[in-house]
Amino acid sequence: MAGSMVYRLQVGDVRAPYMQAFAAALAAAERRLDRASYNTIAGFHGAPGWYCWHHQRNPRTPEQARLFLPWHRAYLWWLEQALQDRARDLPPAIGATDIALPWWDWTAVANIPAAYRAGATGRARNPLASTRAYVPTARPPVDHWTTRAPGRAPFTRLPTRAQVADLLEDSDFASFSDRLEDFHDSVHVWVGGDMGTVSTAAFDPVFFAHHCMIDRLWYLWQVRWGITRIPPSLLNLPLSPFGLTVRDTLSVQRLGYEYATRSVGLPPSRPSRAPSRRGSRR
Amino acid sequence: MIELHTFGPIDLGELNGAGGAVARADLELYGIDHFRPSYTALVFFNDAAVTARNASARRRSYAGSFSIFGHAECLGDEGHCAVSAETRRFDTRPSHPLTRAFKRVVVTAALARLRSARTLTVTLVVACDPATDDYEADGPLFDCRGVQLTTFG
Repeated sequence: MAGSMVYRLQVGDVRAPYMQAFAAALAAAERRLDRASYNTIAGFHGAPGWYCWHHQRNPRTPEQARLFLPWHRAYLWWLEQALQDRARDLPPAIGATDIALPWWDWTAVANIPAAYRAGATGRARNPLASTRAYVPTARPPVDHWTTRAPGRAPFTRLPTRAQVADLLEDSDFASFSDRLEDFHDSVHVWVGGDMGTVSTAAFDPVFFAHHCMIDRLWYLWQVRWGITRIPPSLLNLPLSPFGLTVRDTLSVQRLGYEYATRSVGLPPSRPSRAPSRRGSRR
Repeated sequence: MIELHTFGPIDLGELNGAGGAVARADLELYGIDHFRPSYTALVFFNDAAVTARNASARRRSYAGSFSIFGHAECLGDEGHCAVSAETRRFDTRPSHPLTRAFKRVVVTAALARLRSARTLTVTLVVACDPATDDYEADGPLFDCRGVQLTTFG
């Protein structure tokens, strides 16, 4: 329902209503050229914005450094809100469906999800397969359709379910964040192409499905260990350009979403009238 | 492109002399330059025979791995990717995106297998996508300022 909290679901069949709504909103954002465009938002991460926060930047000063998870949570929220803005541009049947980012569970689907591959929709262009990365102010200018090279980088494997289970046992935020970021890095390397470089990764729509999985794992860790398990010195740090602080990102409910494995609406009720006691006496 | 980097040896006597039991051991890598193509590194303990050809997570000496999501190339004007070591009193802006990175690899199980070893030598076998190994940065693909083994009781 428009305006209510949404459930982020696992990437599914491209014909599923929630996938259709997401893809249609993304396509609408890709067609725009203004600040609400997909191209502009993708450009926050690498070129030309360079706002993203990766790696621990200040050796031996961990409190100032581990913004990887909060920054990317804010980034996903920003895109999700922008896509929900696009609901008004969509046909009523699609626009009425909640628009939420789907997550790619690379421990279960050890390949680019089918919905994100070319030809998946039967249309001329699948908006989830590739977008035009356009940064005319870069030197040299960036202007190409995003590509991937999954599995080509030597030694690189997608994280496994066992590795994730072990990670979720790690109760220390710093250690958890570092280790989860390394899983994240390995997926970027594994997908390759534009996803393999910070500069252009976010122009590939699968970036957000990947990061949604990362964010979901932080959420699952928070469910287990509590949302306050983070160094207090991080809480008031700003997350540019989103207007949020780290504290603002700790609760996913506050940002308007939760993670679920499935959410199915029930058909409308069919009122029926039970025989009255008086009637049954006849 | 595949590179080998060897660190050590360090003395394990003190570690094993204390009973050898640790709750956790981390290999910590400081000051990693990520103005490079993205890559993955496999970590091996006490394996003088590991090479670019036979490196594999199936080797008994395998201790873990890590990946670096790299910046690859500069897309700005001159100086855009230069990280200044200077800090000014009133400049509290976030640090430069290319500030060198930190990584940890949990190596508890691999270290436990070295119970009888007196020293530890660490070998990293580092590889990037062959399509990206024509990068223009100076120096090797893997460039870090320090490696240390940290154990927790």
